[in-house]
This record gives sequence, structure tokens and C-alpha cells, in this order.
Amino acid sequence: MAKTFPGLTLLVGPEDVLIDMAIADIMAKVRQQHPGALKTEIAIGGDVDSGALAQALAPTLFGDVGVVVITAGEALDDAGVQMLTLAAAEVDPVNMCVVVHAGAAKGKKALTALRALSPPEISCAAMRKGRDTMSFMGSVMRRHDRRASTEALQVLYDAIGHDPRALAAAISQLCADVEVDPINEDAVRQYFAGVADVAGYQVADAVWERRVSDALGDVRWLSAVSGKASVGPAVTAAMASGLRVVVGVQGMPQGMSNDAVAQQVGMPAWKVRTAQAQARKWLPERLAAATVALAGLDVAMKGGLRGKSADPDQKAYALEKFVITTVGGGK
Amino acid sequence: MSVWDQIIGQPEAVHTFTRAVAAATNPRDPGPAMTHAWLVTGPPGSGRSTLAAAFAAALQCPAGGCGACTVCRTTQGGGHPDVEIIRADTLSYGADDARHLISRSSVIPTSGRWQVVIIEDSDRFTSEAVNVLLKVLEEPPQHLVWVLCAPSQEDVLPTIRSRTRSVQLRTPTTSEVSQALQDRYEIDPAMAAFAARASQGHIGRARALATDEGARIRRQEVLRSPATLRDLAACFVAAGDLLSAATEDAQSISTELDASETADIRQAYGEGAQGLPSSKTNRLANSALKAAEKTQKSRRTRLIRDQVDRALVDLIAYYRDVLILQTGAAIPLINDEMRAQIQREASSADLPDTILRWEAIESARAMVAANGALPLVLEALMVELKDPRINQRT
Ligand SMILES: [Zn+2]
Repeated sequence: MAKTFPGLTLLVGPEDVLIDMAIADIMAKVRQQHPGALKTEIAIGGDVDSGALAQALAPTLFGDVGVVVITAGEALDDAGVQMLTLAAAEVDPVNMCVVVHAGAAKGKKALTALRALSPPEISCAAMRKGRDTMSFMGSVMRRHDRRASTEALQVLYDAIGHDPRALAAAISQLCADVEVDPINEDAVRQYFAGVADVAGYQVADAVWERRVSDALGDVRWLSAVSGKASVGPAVTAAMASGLRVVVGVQGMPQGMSNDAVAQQVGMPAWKVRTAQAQARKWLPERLAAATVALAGLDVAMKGGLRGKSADPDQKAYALEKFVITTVGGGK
Repeated sequence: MSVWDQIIGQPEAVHTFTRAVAAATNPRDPGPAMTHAWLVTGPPGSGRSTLAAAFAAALQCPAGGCGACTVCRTTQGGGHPDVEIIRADTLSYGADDARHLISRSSVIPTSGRWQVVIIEDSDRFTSEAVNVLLKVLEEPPQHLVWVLCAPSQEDVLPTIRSRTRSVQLRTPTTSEVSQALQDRYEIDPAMAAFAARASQGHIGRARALATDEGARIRRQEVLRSPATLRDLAACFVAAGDLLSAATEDAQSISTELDASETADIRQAYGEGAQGLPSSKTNRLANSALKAAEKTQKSRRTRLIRDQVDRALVDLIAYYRDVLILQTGAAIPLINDEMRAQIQREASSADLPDTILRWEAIESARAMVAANGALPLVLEALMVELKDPRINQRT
């Protein structure tokens, strides 16, 4: 006996990633029984009115089962609510309606009316930093059929930050690459330490391409991911080698072939074009000032002129300051 | 002939140490001129480590430092079993290193005389290491002599200073260095005078300049670099050139040092081993050679940093000369042979910029000492030499 699905489901709240996940869950469940189930998404509002909704809810010629996702549910008018009320009353519905409602004061009347039908409701409330995010991460883990220790989740959270979409992406990456189960703190650190090596060069690329916010994001990521070891001379070394290439390319006469430039500067020919694009973003004077600042940063990473062991926070701060002051601003 | 012959321009220090050696003939009952802990300070190149090694040799030599016997020669070559020479290969010397050192040095000397520990860069000791060391300095075992070396008294913690007897070296005068080059290495007077002047009292450097044409050429190139800084790319090229010049200087120094150490070890185990089966002396010689190789390797890395610093000192002398011409002071130029270039720089730059350039070199030296990445430090320096106000503008 095939299980029946509710004719109406409410997703209430503004958190996009939770909405996406809820919709994906519903689709997965429906498709278990009806592999060919279609998803139709309509956003109420603008020139999409209840007429369009009626069309979407009309049974298809062959009686195929479908899921109709109605986004911007706060814009539903009385006619729309009426239609959904009918849909919710179906015992064995052909169309499963999913209404996404931000849950705020706007469109409150429609929400109250729909809630009165007592359909299943999934909360997609905005996540507060901290515990909400942690439990979200736990739920993402479960979606991947994996478990992780609280410490592991904490390390991950420190590394990625609050952005739930980025967290969900990192978790699915982690679940794909890490075998130990439940995933523990060490496994997370180890996984991201490898990433940090690469990140030094990522920072360098972003810096010389003058993508300030990318560079800052990478720096933040780097300092959070693998802690003390990651923000340090390796990053300045990566930036210094990038700088040498940019300066070298800038010093080459116009019209020189890529191969000749590559040979003169000491770099692979395929990199010449990228380096030239970077070089065009810098006036020589700014680049000169960046050289001086970078040398200072390198010493700061090594504990400064007095050779004290530098506090990781200070180092991360020095790196951020370098990025903002040397890379930011005009050409 | 004596071990003190090698010491140039330090009569007071030699006097202090010869009196100490005379008072130390009986390790059980040394006279007041001898003590267990010494602090030798003096500018780079003044011969701190040479002097410390001569003192160690004189203490071990049955003839009080004849300079000719095996004991003298192996000690000065760093191969004497009762003389340990510590060179800071890393930038600092930690508590664990100090503890190791102390446990090694507390063994009774095999020769029955003194156990001497020479620390070439006491200024690189961490305060934890100093604390470990202090305990031994307070109550030294009878047979133990410490010789700590540092650039200046200020570089050493006060607690160390107060527990050691101080021997201060001075920068040898140009004429002392020049005379020594003529007497010892048969350098002709004109070359000796040039090398003494150009090295600014650094003996090892003076000898390299006097005897090695490559070293002279490399120095010339470094001093020409300020005139080549047309644009940013040229600054980076000049930085690279300076670094490779310094690397070559370091290589020629280390090749020479390595060869003489190796020869000393061979000689020590060849000559001093009568009565032992040759298989055993071979084994000992091999392990000594291996140990030497290891320290030689780390020394090479450090020598490059030292030679970069040398080159920076040369550049400071260059800007000093520029400043002299700009102020019209009646003082001879250190780089008189480059007068034309210095004159051009003096008339094209204004005086405050010359001072800023000088300061930029000083701060580059501090960064070199703080383990800054050498290429980067030099690139930044060349940028600042080209445009000394770059920092004020951005
Ligand atoms: Zn002797």
C-alpha cells in the first residue's frame, strides 16, 4: 500500500539553505515512490497570480504526481489560499504543495489561514550563531549518514564561519574525503591542514590580483583552519614569490613573446598571461610600497625584530592589515 | 711562535689571557688571574672566536700556547676533545641545548687539564637557556672554563655579565690590519691598505679582499648597485645580485674553513694516535669527520646571512662617503676608488634622503638578524634605496 503524502507542507522562515534542504528532502521522499515526480516552482507576486497557481495545481493529463513549490508565499491572496485549502484536504493528492513563507509580519494573514489547516510545518528560521549552527551542522552530517564529535564540529565552525551554505558545502566535502567515523577533531584538522598549504598560494593570488575581499576571506579561513602553523612565513613566502613574478613581468618590454617573458622571469609560459593581468592592476609605486610592507610582514610573522614568538592572533591581524592597506584602494 | 700571533690589534686582551694562562698551570689551584667564566666582547671581525680559541689552546698546551704542537693546532682547528666550540646554528639557543651542553662539559677532561667551552654567540641564548647556564656559572666544576663571546656587553643579560670576567676587544685600526696583512700573508702594501680600509677593521674580510680577486669584484658590484636602480624591476635584479654575491663570499669562506678543519682532524688522529690499532683511530677519525660535516653544513647557511650583513655594512660605508661629500667634511673616503660614482650620487641626491637611505640599510640589517627572508629583505631595501620616501608617500 503506497504511503500518501500531505497535500500541503509549510516551510516557514528565511534561511535559504534550510529551505533548500527541506525541499530536497521532500523531493527525495516523493521520488522514492514516484520516481518520475516533477518539481514545479512558482513564485507568487509580480505577474504570477493565483491564476498561475491554479494552472500549476491542475492535474496533468496522465495523472502524474508532482511537487509544486510556491515560493514567496507571503504574497498569496485569498484566492490562492482558497486553492491551497482544497489541495490540503485531498486524501491522496496528485500534487503536493510546498509553501515557502518567510514567517515575518508580511503576509501574516495568509500564513495564519494556512496554519489553520494544520499541515506539517518545517521551521526554516534564521540561524543564530552558535548553537543553532551547531545543530544545523549535526543535521547536515546526518543527511550524509555520518556522525561527528562536537569538538570536530566546533573546529569546522571556527574554520568556515557562520555561513550555513559554506558549512554545508564543507561538510559534504569532508564526508566525501574523510573515512574515520564518527569524524573527530584530529581528522578535521588534518584535512584542513592540507587545504591550508594550498591556501597560502590562494592568498597570494588574491593579493596580487587585488581581490581584497577574497584575500581577506582566505586569510580568515587560513588562520581559523589550522591555527598557529598556518598563518606564518609560508604565507609571506608565497606572496613574495608571487610579487617577484609580477615585478618581473612588469619590467619586461612590450610585445615580448610569452616564452621569452617566461624565460626571463623564470616561470612557466602558461602563467605569463595571468601574471600580466596582475601586473596591469598595479602602478609600480604601489608595488614598490607593497614590497617594503611585505618584508616587514615577513619579519613580524617570525616574531618581529626582537625575535619573540608571535601570538597567532597578532600574526593573523598583521596579515589582514597588510592585505587591507597594500592591496586595497586604487591602482 | 705562539698562539697569540694570530691576534691582531688586541694587546690588552692578549695580556689578560696570557696572565690567566700563567696562573692556570695547576688546575687544582689556579691563581687570581685565572677564572672560570669569561665574557669576550667585540665587534664582528674583531676576532672574538679566534681569541677564544687561542686562549683554549694556551690552556691545553703543555708549553702554554706554543702554537706549534699538536695540542695547539687541534684546539685552534676545533678538534680538541676537551674543547667544545658552540656556534649558534639556529637563531637562538634554548634551555634544552644548554642542559645538554652542561651535562657534556661536566665530564672530567681526558687530557687531565681543562675542559673548555667556547660559546661564540652568547647573545643568541634565550633567557631560559641563560637561567640554566647561570647555575653552572655560579658554582663551576673545578676543571671547567667557559668563554662566552658576544658583539657587546649590552647583548648579554646582566646576570651573565655580573658572573663573568670581561675582556673587551676593539676594532683594529686600518694600519694594524694593513700591517698584519703584509706580515702574515705577504700582501703588498697598496693592496693591504685598500683591503684594510675597505673592510673597516674586519680582519677576515680584509684578508678575503686582499687575497681573493672574486671577493673584490663582488664587493665592487654591490657598491655599484645603488647607481643601477632605475625602476622596480632593476631593484629586484640588484637584490638578487647582492644575494648571490654574498652567497659566493660565504661559499669561499666555508670551503676554506671546512678544508682546514678536515685537515686538522686527520692530523690529530694520524699523529696523536701512536699505540692505538689503526682500525680504531680510523673509526674515531671518521666519526669526528662526520660530526664536523654536520656543523659545516649549518655553518654555511649562517655564513650567507653573515655575508649579506657584510655587504650591507659595505653599502652603509658607501652612503657614509656620499654624506661626507654632501657635507663637505674633510675626512678620507672609505671607498675612495669609487669617488666618481659617489660624487654623482652626492650631487644628485639631497642630504635628508642620504640619511634615510642609511637608515633603510640599518633596518635591513636588523631584519637580517631577525631571520627575515633574505631575498625579500634585500628587495625591500633596494626599493627604499631607490625611493627613500616610499613609506611616507603611501
Ligand atoms: Zn702548543
